[in-house]
Amino acid sequence: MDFQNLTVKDLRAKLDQKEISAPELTKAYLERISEKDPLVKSFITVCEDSALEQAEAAQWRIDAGEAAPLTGIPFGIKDNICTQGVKTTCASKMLEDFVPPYQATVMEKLCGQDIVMLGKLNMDEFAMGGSTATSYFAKTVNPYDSSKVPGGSSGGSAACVSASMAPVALGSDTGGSIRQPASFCGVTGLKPTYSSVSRFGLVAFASSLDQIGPIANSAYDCGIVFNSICGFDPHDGTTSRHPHGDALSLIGQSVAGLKIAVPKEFFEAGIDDEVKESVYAAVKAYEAMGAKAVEVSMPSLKYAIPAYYLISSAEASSNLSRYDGIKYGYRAQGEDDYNALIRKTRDEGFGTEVKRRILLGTYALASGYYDAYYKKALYLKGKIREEYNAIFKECDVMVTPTAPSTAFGFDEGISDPAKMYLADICTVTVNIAGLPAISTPCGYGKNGMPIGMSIVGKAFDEARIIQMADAFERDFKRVAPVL
Amino acid sequence: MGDVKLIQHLCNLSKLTLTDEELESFTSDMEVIIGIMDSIKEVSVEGDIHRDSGVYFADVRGDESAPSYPTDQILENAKEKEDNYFEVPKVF
Amino acid sequence: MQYIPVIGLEIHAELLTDSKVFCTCSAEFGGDQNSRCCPVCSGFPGTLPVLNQRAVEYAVKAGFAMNCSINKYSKFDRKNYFYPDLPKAYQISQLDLPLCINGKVKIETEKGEKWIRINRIHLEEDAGKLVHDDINATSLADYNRCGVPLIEIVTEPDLSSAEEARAFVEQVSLLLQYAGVCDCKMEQGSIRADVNISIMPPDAKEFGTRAEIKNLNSLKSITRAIDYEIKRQAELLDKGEKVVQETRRFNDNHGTTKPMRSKEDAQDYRYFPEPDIQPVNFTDEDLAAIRASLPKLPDERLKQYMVEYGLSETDSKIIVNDVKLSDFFDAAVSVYPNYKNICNFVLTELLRRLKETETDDIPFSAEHFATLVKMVDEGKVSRNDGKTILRYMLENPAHPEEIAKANGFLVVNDMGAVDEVICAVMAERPDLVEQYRAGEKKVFGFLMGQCTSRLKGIANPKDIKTALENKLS
Repeated sequence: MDFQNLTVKDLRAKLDQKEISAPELTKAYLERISEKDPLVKSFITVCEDSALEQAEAAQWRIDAGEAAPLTGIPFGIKDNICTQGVKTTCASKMLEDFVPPYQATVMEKLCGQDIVMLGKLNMDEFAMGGSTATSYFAKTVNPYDSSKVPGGSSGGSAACVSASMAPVALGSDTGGSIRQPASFCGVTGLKPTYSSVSRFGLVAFASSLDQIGPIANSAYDCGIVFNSICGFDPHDGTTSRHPHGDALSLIGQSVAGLKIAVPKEFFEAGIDDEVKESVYAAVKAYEAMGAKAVEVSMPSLKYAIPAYYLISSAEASSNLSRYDGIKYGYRAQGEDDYNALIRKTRDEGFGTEVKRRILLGTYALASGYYDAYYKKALYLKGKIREEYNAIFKECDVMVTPTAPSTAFGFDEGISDPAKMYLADICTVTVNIAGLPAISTPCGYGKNGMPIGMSIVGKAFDEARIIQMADAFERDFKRVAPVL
Repeated sequence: MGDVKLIQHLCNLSKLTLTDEELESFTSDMEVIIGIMDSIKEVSVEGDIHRDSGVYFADVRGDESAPSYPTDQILENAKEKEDNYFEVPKVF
Repeated sequence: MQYIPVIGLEIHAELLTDSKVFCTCSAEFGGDQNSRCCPVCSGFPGTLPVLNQRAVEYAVKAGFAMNCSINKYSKFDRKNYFYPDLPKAYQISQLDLPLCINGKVKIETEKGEKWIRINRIHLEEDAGKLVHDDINATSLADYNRCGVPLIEIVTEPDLSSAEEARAFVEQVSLLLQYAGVCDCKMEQGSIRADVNISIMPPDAKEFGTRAEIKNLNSLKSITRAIDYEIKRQAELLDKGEKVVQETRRFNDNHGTTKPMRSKEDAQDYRYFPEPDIQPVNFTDEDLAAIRASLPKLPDERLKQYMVEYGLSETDSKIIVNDVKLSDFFDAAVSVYPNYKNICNFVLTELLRRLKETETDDIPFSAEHFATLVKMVDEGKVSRNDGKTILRYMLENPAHPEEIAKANGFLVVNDMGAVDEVICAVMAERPDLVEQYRAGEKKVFGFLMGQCTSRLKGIANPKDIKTALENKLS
């Protein structure tokens, strides 16, 4: 079977027309995983037996003529999404053996359509990082070059789709964790509007920023998945009651007349020239389709990194306090004092980056520092939202680079936290503002590594950014990865 | 800012214990990171701090209880348990 | 030296909701350890709290009962600390925009009425329970109480004695019970208090340094802890020493307080807005509906009993100070509006019987009770038989008329029978009839007794008496 660029849309047609059965499809992907994943290392857990069982169930449903849009479609799931009865580790020693007794709402919804879960995917520990290299278990590599990172934190999800070990995967995005690895691995990733997809069962990193979304081979596929996972959830009081229209409703419509905001601060120092050129070229391509580019300004961008890191780390420091070895997960040995036990557990169970964020977050909230840091970060959150609102009064979407560079090497400063933090500049404002954004490949660097552009939309306007990304993807020739 | 004492204080608050080596590297890392964060200090707060708009009282979950989880599922992932309790070293 | 104590209270009260404040587990007291838990209240990864509307409503009701203003936009915050009874390692609470602010509650003191200001009432979640195993040096955690809704009622430092504190806690308990939001069972921990206390010389302009005494769970321990703390602080100041600002624990066995933790361990709760729970907005209609759902509060009822019903202050207070009794009384007088007689029967008969049987709950309806009082008043049964019927009703609730019928207590007032019996008695004892007519009135009692014992259940004593008197004269 030729897996390259096989989309969910194609597979749906093949399954429905009985060109292939769901078990055959699942077996093919499982074989592909056993062949490729020893090189890519994108899976933490492969669920061979249960995947085949699910495929059988899916086939029953297809045969009965009751297939839903995702029935029988193989999925990879990021390992911070709780899967009932299947280990959910967050790529941390702390949760190495944690088996949730409940299903995340997104899994509930997908399983309701009888998808096939191939396995759980690698990530940065507790989703903190942009390289997947902070995983406790393995270093996932970039399918375009095994000396380079797949990006992160959803690096396993992006690499797995990029290397065609699954046609689609779920990731999560707190500050770029879907878009940046999608960009690095040459695939499409959608970060939905905050509150549109339930976070119930997503192991929290930063609750006010986290969103689950798809990584796939096309914007269209992202739309199919988004349609299936979005909506109000009684288990998540922050989900919106906003009615979600069909995210695919604008597909194929002309983009002529649409206004594209191009914020100049996203094309200044710190962004590689080849990235700038590639994204500008994409904007030109839209103009050729009749869209209009408008240069805009986002003055608060210079504070985006501190605002993002202060808010996300503060929330993380609190969210991760529950890992104490008592209720679940790793528990240190040989301590007979409560405080010593939990300190040793946390010291041994968490990796370096997680500890760094906990310390930063604790600092941001500590008495005497709150006003100087956390309060100002909340103030800037409001400012950044205002700036987006003003831009979206005039424009329909915004186009920016997804990352300042193409995927970097494992030897290029992964251990330098400051450099890593600053590299999130292109993605974090979207999370702060709670807006939807999609990253799609728009070119390749001199070294052949993919370049991604991000299309940012108004809140709940997923249909528009999917339409835009799809319009570009129709004429864009993707280069296959080497692995 | 990024002094050892501060890091130790933060470790106390967040229940982390660092080795001497870690303490040293974290102290220097944190100095750089806090340096990045400090650019926010030049921002003066004018007007309101951002607050979420929230929900209406009428949309808040109704008070209906449902069966709890079986006790063994709640305790299933715990390393130390005793007589259906979670067990910890004695606290006062 | 005599010092002036300055006391503030933080009262924690568990709300009577069906489900917990952030999940659907039952909030009821009790249950086997860890049997009323789910991944949400046990702090599992990936779970989210979902606010309970009734918990919010009850907190607001408590606020109205204590004359508070309600914040129409109220948000939740996280209070971070590690303790094995707190599975998330943070408590969801409210910091800067609590549901209720600026209230006041009236108490009675030796010097008369006094208003105690309420700073705030906020909604939060309870923690679990720890059982300590000394032999194995372990603590065992039960999360059944985790997530039970609590309100914290915080006063201004307006109290100045243990007695005032006691009166305040009693009054707040009463208001919460009237509002129907808390059962205020101190022995089950459904209401408990922290006390902030400092003392100052009479001429001082500023408050002294305060100590906080945590987790007092009986009225007695509240008053004892305050009295001890006043004495302890006074002794320190007398010796020229300073009071340290700290949290102390009260030891019930010794009647003393001790510091809970050393100063190096000073808490920093790192509050920040709870990102998992959206702030709550109230419309004017929401608040009006909640206010309208409050029953008449004790003050209003007291006034009604005294002014409208003409009951004495003492009697009125006895009824008002027990919400169940007051509700019962109100229901009874709505059926049979003889306020005084209902009140008398409640106070003399019902309360005594309830005390004897040690029951909290009255097993029969107020309507049945009112019927019984009416039957006695109308002479359908004798007062003594009425008491007996009440006893039967407590043992085996049935309609009082049926009990009276079944036991032959019903007075039929057959005046023909009365006439017959009187004639017979007079015929049996002509000597006494003569004595009576000669002016020896004391024999009346004997004759009357003869008649009533033969007319039991046939006529009521009042009518027999009149008939006998008429015959004798």
